Parts: sequence; C-alpha cells; structure tokens
Amino acid sequence: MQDVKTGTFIANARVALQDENLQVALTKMKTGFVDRRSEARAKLPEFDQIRDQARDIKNHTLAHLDYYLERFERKVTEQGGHVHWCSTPEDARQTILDICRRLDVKTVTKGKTMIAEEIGLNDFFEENGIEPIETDLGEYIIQLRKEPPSHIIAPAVHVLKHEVAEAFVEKHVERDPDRSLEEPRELLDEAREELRQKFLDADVGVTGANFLIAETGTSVIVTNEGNGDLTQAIPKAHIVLASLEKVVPTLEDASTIQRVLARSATGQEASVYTTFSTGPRRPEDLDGPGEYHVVLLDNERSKMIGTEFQDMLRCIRCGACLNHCPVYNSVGGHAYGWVYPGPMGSVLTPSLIGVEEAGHLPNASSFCGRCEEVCPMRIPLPKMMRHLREREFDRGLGSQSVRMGIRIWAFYAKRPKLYRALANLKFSILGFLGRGKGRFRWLPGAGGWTKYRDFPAPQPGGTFQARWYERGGARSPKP
Amino acid sequence: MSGRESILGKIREGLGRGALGEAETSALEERIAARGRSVRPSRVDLDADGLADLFVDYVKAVDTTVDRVASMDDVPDKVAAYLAQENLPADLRLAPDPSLEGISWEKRPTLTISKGA
Repeated sequence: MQDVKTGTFIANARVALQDENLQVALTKMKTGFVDRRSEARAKLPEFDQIRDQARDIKNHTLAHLDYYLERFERKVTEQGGHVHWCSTPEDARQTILDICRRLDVKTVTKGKTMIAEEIGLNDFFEENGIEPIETDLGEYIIQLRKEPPSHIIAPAVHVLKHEVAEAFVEKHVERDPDRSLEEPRELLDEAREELRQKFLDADVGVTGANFLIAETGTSVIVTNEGNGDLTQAIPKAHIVLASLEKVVPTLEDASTIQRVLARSATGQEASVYTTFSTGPRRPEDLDGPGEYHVVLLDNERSKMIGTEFQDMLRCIRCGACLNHCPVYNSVGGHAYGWVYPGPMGSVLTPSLIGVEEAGHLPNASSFCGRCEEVCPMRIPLPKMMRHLREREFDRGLGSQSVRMGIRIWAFYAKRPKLYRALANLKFSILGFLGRGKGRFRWLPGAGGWTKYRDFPAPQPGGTFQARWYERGGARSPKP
Repeated sequence: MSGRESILGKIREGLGRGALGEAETSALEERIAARGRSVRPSRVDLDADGLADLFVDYVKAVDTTVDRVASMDDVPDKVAAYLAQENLPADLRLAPDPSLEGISWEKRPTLTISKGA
C-alpha cells in the first residue's frame, strides 16, 4: 500500500504553501478545469437532470450491489473471463502476482488506475522482479520522478514543463542530452517514442475501470491518450483492477453517468477514447488479450454499505471536487498524504484506513460547499466530513486545544442567552476599539487569522440578531 | 470463507438482508432487459441532415478535419489529397468494416492499402 502520510497533513500543507513551483502549477490548474466544466455544463441544459439520474442509478446499484456483482461475474465467466474477489490489498496484489507468475511475466504496462496506487502495486511488482511501465503520460512522468500522483485524473498536474524536461533528460539516457524539449509537442513525441516499443513488448496489461457493466460483463475505461487501448489489447493478458462500487447495471446506465463524467472532469463532451472490453480475444478477433481477468477490490468498501458514508460509493473519480476546492488549490494533492486528495479523499481516505490515521483530512475544509455543488453524483461531501469530525471527537482524537475550544464553544452555544450576552459585549468592545480604522491588524487569540489578513471591526448598528429583533423578525425593513 | 463469500456477506449485512429472492431478482432482470435510458439531450432533436451538421460542429471543435463527399466513389481522391496536404506517407490501414469494402481504392494506385487490426 502507498505509504500513509496523512498524519502530517498540517506540516505537509505548510511545505506545499512554500513550494513556489507547486503554487505556479496550482494557479494554472485553478482556472483551466473550472472554466471548462462550467462551459460544458452551460452547453447541456439537461446537465442537472442527468446528475439526478446518475445519482439514482448508483443508489439503486448500491442497494442491490451483491446481485449486480454476481451478475457481472456470471457474464464475465460466460465469455471466458475470470473474476477474482479480493477483500484486502494484499489479496489483490497476490492474485495479480499469481497470474503474472503463471504467464512468466517480465514487464507490465499499466493504464492509469487509482486502485493500483491504493494497493501499492508498482512497488510490489518491482519487489517481485516485474517491471511496471506507466503508459498514461502523467503517470509516466511521476513514475520517472518517483513520486505519487497528486490529482486523481491529472496525476502530474503539480509538475511544470521544465521539470518534465529535466526528468526526460535524466531518464532517457540514450538520447542527446542537449536536445530541445522546450515545446509540449517535443515532450509528447519523445514520450510516445519511448513507450511505443514497451506496449508491444509487454507481457500483461493492467488497467482500471470506470465502469463494470453487469448486463454484459464489460469493463469500460475512458482515456485521452489511447494508452489504455494499447495496454489492454496487445499483451497475453488484460487485468482489470477495480473496486466493488464500479459496477452499474446496464450499458445505458453507464452512458448516462458518462454524460456527466468527462464534462465534470475536464469539460470535454466525452473523453477522446471510451473503450469497452468484454472477455478475452475470440478466435475470429484480429487482436485482443489471450486472457481477461477482473480483480475486484473491497478494502473496507463493503463496510460503508448501510452507513452514513454509503453515498461516497457513488463517486466516479471525476476530480471536480478537487478542482473547485480552495484547500486543494492551495496545498495540492501530496499534502493529503495518501492516494485520494481533496474533498473526496477527505471522506474516502478515513473511510478506508480509519479516522485515527486520517483524521486531519475531514478537518481540512472550510465547508464552503463547492465540492457538493459541482459533484456530478450529488455526494454530500461536507455532511460526511462533519460525520467524520464527530467520529474523531467522540473517539478522543485530534488536538487537545481544538477539543477544548470546541467544548468551550459548546458550553455557550447550549446557553443562547449567555451566548448572546457575551457576543454583544464582544461586539461592543471590538466596535469601539476598531471604530477608527474599521479593521484590526492583530487580535489576541486570532493570530491564525491576522497573520495573513486584517480582521474586520464590527460596524455600527448592532449584531445581525439585534437588527432582526428590531425589525420584529420581519424579512424586510418596516415601512 | 472465500473472498467472494466474505465480500458478499458484508454487503448483505450492510444492506440488512440476505441474498435476494426470486421475485426480487426477476424484477432486477426486468430492469436490465428494459434498458431504460436517461434524459435525451434536446440538441439531438434534429433530422438526419441536422444531426450530421451537429456531429461536424462538435468533431471540428476537437481539432478533427472534415471532408464531405457526394458518394463513396469520391473517398479515394479525398484521402489521397489529405495525405498529400499533410505530407504524410501514402499508406492506409483499413479496419474490417463492410462500408469500407466497396470503395474503389484502385482509382488511386499510389495508395498502399493494408487491412487488419
């Protein structure tokens, strides 16, 4: 499993905020994905209706998950494929290794799969003498740099162009070290040339799956580079690595969800390639893998069924929540310390590895709600982060000073008259002290705020509640 | 207990039930067979020519070039012209598709045609 560094999120975030290259990269990302999603949504008036239908499809599927997984398995098996049910990352790794050992595998090409990151597959391959080759360009870049992905759909979003060039010069040693790698096209052409023969030589191809279709026993991947197709069609075997909740009932259901997937992720009408794979190569097929294996991973997802976190299993990994999150856009993905960053990671990570390990993540949110607003599957992310905070508090985890602060606030919040009296007193004092400039450059107890910005002084006229009472509770001023 | 039984058991425990009975599985099979579709985007409420124009608009938006021909007999000339314009080799790989079989590629003998995957 990828090393867990969620416990040092606060320190990770401080480092990220000081990383100039990362901040440049995040600034570029901020507008690109967000603007394009907005444009794609505007071009499809039915977008929100389709979101509702996508949510309903997933809810129906989760309510019958056992049935649809068994049906998927039956259809895969009927067509000569194999389904392997793996409760833990260890089970999944060993299952894949067993397949590779039987086929005398030396090299494996890989399409992008977050589940492979979750189970630490690349390191495991290398420990067992198998060379994994990432074929998604972003994954290839971070593989060269020996670092994990920082975004679930754009794994190298944190890497600037000159850093990519440096990695290519360092690792593609057979090429002229003084060659030009200034233009994106030059970098792309070099990556294609490096990878082309590797596709042809690979013994096994591993991909993820955006969908597993119970109706037909089909796995679906969406890519923009075509690397997934070359990964799965050429080698002796295609291994699909997917978590349980990827299953959907029908082709039409997959199409419905697909309508909101690419639009939410990158603002595309559809990804460049959408590839449906059903079973191994048949005698009449011109190409295709000799074997087709689906490795289904649980890793605690079954325990989310029937809980307040079940909605998280609707996630289709579009990354829209990351793209719109002010916290993610400030610190990037590596700060989150494990596979899944941003708002979806702040719910999924503690659900999979425990709030004891990942309690910082659901606290890394201002609850602005943008994640839920843009989620194509209408996942109530802030609500689930709040549940996780409650769980963390109930278990006595987290910072003692924060817990004390919450207890003190709760004491007053449960006593509204006392709360209002103290608020009015504070309001009056701050209003008096700040009446000259209208702001404070420093306030005792508010150093975390005033270190970076001024604190506004209360304006004359009283608190909101005072004005509300003055108006008799009416919504508009009395005539 | 196998991984399969363990996972299915946990799912059913979360759902608060055991395996589905015959009536319930029949209903789910009917749902699959019904192949219910989602909201149809209004932009495709067009006749055949309108759909073709819509397709061309969207495909051009993703940097695809489009040439329209009056008949399949015009295809070899258009393909040869495109390859020449882009300074590409005159090599074509044809995927097995009935619509490509009847094309008179011999009109352009300088095109090297191969077929397969």
